[in-house]
Amino acid sequence: MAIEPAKLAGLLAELKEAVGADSVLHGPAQLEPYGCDALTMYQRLPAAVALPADAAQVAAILKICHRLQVPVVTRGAGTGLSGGALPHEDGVLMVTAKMRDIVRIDPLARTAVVQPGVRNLAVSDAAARYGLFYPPDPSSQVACTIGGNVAENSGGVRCLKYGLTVHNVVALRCLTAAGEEFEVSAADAGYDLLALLHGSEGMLAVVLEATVALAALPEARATMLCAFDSYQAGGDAIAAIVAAGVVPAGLEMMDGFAVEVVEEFLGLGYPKDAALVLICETDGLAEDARGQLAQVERICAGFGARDVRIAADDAERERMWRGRKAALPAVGRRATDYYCIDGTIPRHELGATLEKISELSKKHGLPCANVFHAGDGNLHPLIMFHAGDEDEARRARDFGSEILAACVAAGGTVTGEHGVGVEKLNEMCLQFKEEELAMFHGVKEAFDPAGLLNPGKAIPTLQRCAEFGMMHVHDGQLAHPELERF
Amino acid sequence: MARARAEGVDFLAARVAGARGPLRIAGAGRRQDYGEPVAAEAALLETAPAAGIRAYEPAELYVTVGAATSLAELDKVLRAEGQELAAEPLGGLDETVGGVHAVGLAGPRRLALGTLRDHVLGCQLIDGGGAVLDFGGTVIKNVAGYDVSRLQVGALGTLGLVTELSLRVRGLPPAELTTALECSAAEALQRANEALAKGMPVAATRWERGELHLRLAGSEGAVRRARHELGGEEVAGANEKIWEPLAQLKAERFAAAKKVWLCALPPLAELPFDDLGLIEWAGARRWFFDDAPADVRGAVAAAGGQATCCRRPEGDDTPAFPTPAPVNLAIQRRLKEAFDPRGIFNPGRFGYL
Repeated sequence: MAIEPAKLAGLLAELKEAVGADSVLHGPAQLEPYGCDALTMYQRLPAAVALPADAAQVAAILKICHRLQVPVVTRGAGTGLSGGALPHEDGVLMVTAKMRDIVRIDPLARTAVVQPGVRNLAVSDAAARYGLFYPPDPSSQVACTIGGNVAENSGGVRCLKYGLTVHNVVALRCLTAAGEEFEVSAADAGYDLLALLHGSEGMLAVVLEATVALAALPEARATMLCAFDSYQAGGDAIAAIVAAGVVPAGLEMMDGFAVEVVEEFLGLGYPKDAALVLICETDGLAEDARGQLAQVERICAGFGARDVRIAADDAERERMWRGRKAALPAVGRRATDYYCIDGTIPRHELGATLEKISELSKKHGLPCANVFHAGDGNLHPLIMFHAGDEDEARRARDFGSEILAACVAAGGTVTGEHGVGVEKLNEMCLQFKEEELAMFHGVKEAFDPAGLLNPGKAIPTLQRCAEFGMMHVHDGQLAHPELERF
Repeated sequence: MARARAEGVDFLAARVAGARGPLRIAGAGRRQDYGEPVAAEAALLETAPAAGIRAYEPAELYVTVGAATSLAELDKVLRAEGQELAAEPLGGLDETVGGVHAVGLAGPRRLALGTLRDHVLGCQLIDGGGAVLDFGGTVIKNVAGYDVSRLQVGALGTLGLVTELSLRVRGLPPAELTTALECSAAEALQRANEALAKGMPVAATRWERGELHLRLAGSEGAVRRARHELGGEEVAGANEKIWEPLAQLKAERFAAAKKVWLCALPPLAELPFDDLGLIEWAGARRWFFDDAPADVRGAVAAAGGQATCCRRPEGDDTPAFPTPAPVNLAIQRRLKEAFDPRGIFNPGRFGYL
């Protein structure tokens, strides 16, 4: 159902009046670049794109859309991996790219006040002169924005030690869907709206300004790399490291296939023929960084680690990380398309889940490289396929869905850090029962009674779940226990 | 994924579903004086049937615990594995896990550990209609659906009867020590924040009556170095003498005071009456007592913070909480409506809702 031409004309006229004609895009040629976020398998053009320059313009856009009952989807850099910023065909896509001022940094209080379009890495770059940094480091941190990070509650490599976005934001200034301004802070008594806004995928409010916490740049870093010959040994080593009370600033793994693909691309000299390669980094005061890494080394040795390498200097440390960080581009070179999955499982399930993914890879006839945040059990299987081949694309989606079902069955979740977006709406029906989903809709209505902010994302309708046919979990009993669920 | 339901939860759910009027939820009943009193006509609903440790996986760093479990029992089980809760609750060991979470306040070690809501992984609750709902889970990273688990922390039981919580745990730090030095309140704020900006392993700070205590925790080497760089005299037995009473609300001035203010502030904000207070969290939390000026709330708000009146003498009608701004209040009311449409859970607890 497309927006009526008269309504569109009225909307465009009002938007141009509010933010200037240059900052309103419409027509297929102008809208094309905004048709998807980083999950390219879902594409849709909005009715218009608006690029506000400041808080007053954001408020104006929201008020216009609220009055005309036009949906609004907020977009930062469009690096999201679940279709959270997929436009609404009858709505306005509001892009925060112009709002990229770092308003102030308070070095002693260790906070920065930033606009929503500020890039994640730009915060750390600006804080570096004070010996501080902003810890959450999603892999897209060069491009992704703080507003987007709040919407997705982004994690990254360092979050095992430093926490997710929700742990590192102390206050937000926001607008409701109706364009009313409000502030939430960690100091507030009453309901924790600050926590609730994190990971709400742009469905509850629009962020105008975030006050983020900064941490002291670590005095030292210590990094090691080693190989394991089985999924089980590597998985058990991870569980043992965490159980020992070591809190690394990075505890990452790649499977043998991912290593092979990366080696072909970069030739970094990672150990060959390993089931898993582990990269572990500890940081902090020099005493902590070195001591903790020595502990990790001892634990890994106990699980049969081989090719243990300790970075002698920063150059070697960078080299160890380069392969992990280049894993997605490397897979992108090998395959025409890849599909990045984002499930989380308890750490002790790592070995068994990797075996399961390997079986599913054979079943669907699609190669899959695994790179993951091992320390927090967050898997990112990368399924390789040809998007042009309809059957392969369908198999890739089925494969992904079955991985997520396996994560739920293992006691985990369908999304660790990428969000539900449009991608995992069906899988939400696996994880939650009807009353819980209804409560989520109640939360949405508390902030946005008219349902105009990013409608249709993140929380499936009850009808959709009924159609998906998985909605029959009661008291731990599936309606059809005889059916195999992956 | 629906989990096996613990004994007692269905009983509580039936009580809620069958309630014909408001309910006052109580665990150990130790914090009924925090916030406004629940409407007098509310019937007592004790969470006792939801007691016990449901699952504890030391290697996975989480524990799932019935809300009516006492902190003392949980502490004993965790310590046996060399672990503790990843966040330090503010409350006595005789309180329940559900109670300290409903209040939602963290203890002195927030600087190192974060707050309670930072480490809630999942919860089970009974909504106002008597339905048993599960949110979150037991893994650290989980962005499926809105974060209802964290929303329950500090909600004073007004958004549901929480029956079970999954909480992050952590290994006990290998080394700890406390130092003391004499300085003014302003100097204490400066020193504590400088130490944190340098990455020193400061777990807690406390300034009172001209004396600053720093609790250092971490590896042996890091603690030794911080001790050397930050100066001060080492205090023997500080955990028992200073930090535990503070975490358990048993410090001398809490016990004696008729009026207690808890203030959340930007850490370096200066109040004209700081000298009268007890300052924690490098300045981000400050307590004031009977001798504080009348308008603590106004002064704290002007400095960018919020003041909660935790205890009032009889006849003092100071509201416990500041009233939220209109937009926040409207959202909070609609949230309450979504979770508890009949308004039966702890009516009156926030005053303004």
